[in-house]
Amino acid sequence: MLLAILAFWISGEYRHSEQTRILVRQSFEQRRDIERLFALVQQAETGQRGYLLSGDTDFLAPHLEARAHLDEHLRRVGQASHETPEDTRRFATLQAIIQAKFVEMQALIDLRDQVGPEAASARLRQGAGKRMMDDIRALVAKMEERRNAALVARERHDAERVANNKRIIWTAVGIAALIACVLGYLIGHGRRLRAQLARGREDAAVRQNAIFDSASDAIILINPSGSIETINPAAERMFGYRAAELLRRDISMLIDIAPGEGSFLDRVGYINGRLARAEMIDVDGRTSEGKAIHIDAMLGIMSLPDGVHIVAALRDAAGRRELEQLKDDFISTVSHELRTPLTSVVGSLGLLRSGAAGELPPAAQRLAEIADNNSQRLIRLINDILDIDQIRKGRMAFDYVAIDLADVITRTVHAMHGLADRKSIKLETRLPESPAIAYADAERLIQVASNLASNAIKFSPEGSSVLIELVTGGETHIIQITDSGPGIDAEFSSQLFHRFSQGSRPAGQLVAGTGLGLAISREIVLHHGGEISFENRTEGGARFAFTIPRENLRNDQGHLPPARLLICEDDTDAGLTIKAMLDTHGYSSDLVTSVRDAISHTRSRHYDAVLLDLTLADADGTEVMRALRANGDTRHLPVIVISGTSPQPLDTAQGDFADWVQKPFDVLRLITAVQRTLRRFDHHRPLILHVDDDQDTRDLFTESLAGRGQIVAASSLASARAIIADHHPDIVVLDLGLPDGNGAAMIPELRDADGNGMSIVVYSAQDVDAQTRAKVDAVLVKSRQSLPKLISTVMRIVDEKKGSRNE
Amino acid sequence: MNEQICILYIDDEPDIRLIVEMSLRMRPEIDVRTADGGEEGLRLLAGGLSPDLVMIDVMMPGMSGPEVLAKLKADPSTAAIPVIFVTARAQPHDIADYVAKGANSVITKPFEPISLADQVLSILRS
Repeated sequence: MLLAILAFWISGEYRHSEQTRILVRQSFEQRRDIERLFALVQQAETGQRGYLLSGDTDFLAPHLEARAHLDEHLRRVGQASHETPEDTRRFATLQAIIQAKFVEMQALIDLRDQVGPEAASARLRQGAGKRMMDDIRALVAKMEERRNAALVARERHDAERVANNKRIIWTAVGIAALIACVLGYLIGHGRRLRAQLARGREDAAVRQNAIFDSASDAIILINPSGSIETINPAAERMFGYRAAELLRRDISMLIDIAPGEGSFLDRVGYINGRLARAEMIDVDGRTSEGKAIHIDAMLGIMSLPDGVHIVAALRDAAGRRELEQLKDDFISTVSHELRTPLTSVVGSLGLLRSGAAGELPPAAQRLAEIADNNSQRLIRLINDILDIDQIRKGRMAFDYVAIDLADVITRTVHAMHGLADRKSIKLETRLPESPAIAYADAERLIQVASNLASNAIKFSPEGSSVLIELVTGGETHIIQITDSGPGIDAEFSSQLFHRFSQGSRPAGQLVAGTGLGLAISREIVLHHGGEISFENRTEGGARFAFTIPRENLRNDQGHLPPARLLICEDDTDAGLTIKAMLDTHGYSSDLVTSVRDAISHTRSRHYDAVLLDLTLADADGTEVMRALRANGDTRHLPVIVISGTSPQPLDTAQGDFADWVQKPFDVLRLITAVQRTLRRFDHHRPLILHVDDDQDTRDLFTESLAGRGQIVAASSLASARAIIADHHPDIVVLDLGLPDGNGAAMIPELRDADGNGMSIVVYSAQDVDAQTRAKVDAVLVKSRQSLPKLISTVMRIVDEKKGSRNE
Repeated sequence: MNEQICILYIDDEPDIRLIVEMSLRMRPEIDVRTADGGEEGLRLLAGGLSPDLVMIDVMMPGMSGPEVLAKLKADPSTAAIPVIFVTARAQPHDIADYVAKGANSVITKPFEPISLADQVLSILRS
């Protein structure tokens, strides 16, 4: 741009100087013409005078020549004399005078020729010619002066212009130099910066490499196809390979971070730009010597131009395991070993307070109370620490059985009475009329309710009341505890249910607690599929609530994986048809056509039942049964025979079949046989209803039978009837002396006219008449040693029920 | 229930033996004998003591509580005596384990001394 402007300007200046040159030349020519014209007039006069004096005609020759050229010279001067009106006028005057001069000169010549020299001299002396000549000289001088003046003006203008141009050029040169300097500086600076950056990058790369090389964790970069790209020295040491040996080898050679089938990124859990499992604990790995090692792996995503890479940071799990073991041991020691001295402390204080060692003076009584209360606080702290540790490890034990949540409230209130009495706080309860059955761990829920209730008591003013209520809703039961304390600070509410938080307390009020209680409560409620929440009531006080879902007791079977069946059928088409039927009913199945395959399949994976065609490709199907029965693992695997013939007995060595489906069959017949068989065997755990008003008996029974069946507990006839109506238990263990009537009244309801129905075990301190005894499966007298017998009786009935169904 | 009830308590901790004894004796119908370990307990039983109930600490040097229980159950003369474990190690799975071994009940340490006797009597009556 600048250059274009400069070029335009220079060409303009060049044109201008050319013009000036032309003008100077013209001016010079014009002056010459004027001088020539004047010289012509002088020549003509000189010639004329010579002639006039001498009469010699030779003298006339210059005069005549001048006259001949006069018009031409006048025209030339005239052409250049029109720049201004003054020029035009002056030229016109000059032309007129010159012409007049020539007329005068001719007149003098004519006079000499015709009159004589004296006449001509006389006229000459009159001076008219001389005057004309003077006028011409004066005019010529003026015209030349005018030319000169124009030329001088033009020159002065040009000189100024040149000076200006010089200035402009120097300025431009200055600016250009400045720009050049700035550009030079910028370029230099850019170069320095680039060099600095490059040095920085180099430094960073060197440092990063040093970090990579000196990291104590093994680091491996894995490409999108699962091959090792880079490996650091720590990884070399961990696995005992040199980096070069591992380049481009599959990562599974070292560590099982991506098990299963499919692409590496799928297997490693890379979904939508994220890793499903970025942290992997105790992954199996192997060294170059084939030694198995356990590794903790942290995976990261590295997006490179050639695809998503995985960076695995690996650490030997042994150190962590050792630390965890140490911590577990420590917590176990703290929790259990501290209990022993605490037993002495709490026991002594309790006995002192009770007066077992004699009546204490009031001050000593008060001190014993303080010591006792704080010992109790220490016990709660130990229990909370144990619980939090179990929760953190996901190992908190839950015993889910069907319970009436009203029992939870009743027992909570019972446990909280002492605390409430100390502050003269009234514990009010509001319970629904019908039992609120839920599948829950009663002890844990009591822990939650007690925690909330003790908080409510702590924060409520003396003499106020705390309300504990149970509300049964459509999907969930709600237990809520309302106090009349100061409520919870809004700023604190978000972290209320997190570890080690205690609500801001009214000034000066000391409240016992570990700050773990609400965190533990939250975990317990979440484990039950419920939610815990709180609100500050507008009328004052806080209300804590937790929900426990109502759940159909049989539903827990829905959580099990689908049953897996093995189909042994030599006709592939028929086999695929059976498989399709099973698939549509939610079972998974494998199909084999030979005895050999059938046996190898049952040995290599778990099946819940076998569907067996008796004619197989390589041998008789009964060989499969014989092999199954001979192997301890598969001895009890139920077999459903599918055969063209009607059912017929098999050899003892082949064992029994669970069902016999005759070909051709429809889908309903097949599925019924499968369902019935699965129910009879492992897929069915009996539902046992335990009706007893004594909590300890119920707890012990539940604990002892855990795993053998689902146990539902009821403490009254009413709740037992509600459970029976909803859930049809398989076995009922019945106490007779119940708070709302005699349990015997319920026995007829459990049996139909033929005496079939649920198995009944009476377990009561009361005696039973012969008629009742005949209607039930067993009668046990509740006594010191009968609980183990009750448990073995129930277990025998469970086994018999399975057996009888198999027959 | 006015008849005298005899309870044998076996624990290696003398302090706790004293506290259990005092706690149980708060009920006049309870008579308490104590032993400082399984060996002494079994010696007392062999020597003619026939208690209505044996309460045993689980973790003891020498014979552990379950070992004492096994001995009691193995001997026909003592197999019928109900047994309660008194222990600090009483997580749900521990309790299930003790009951499976034949214990009639479990009392968790630390216990409430004032209500210990009631607790024991209610277990005995059930």
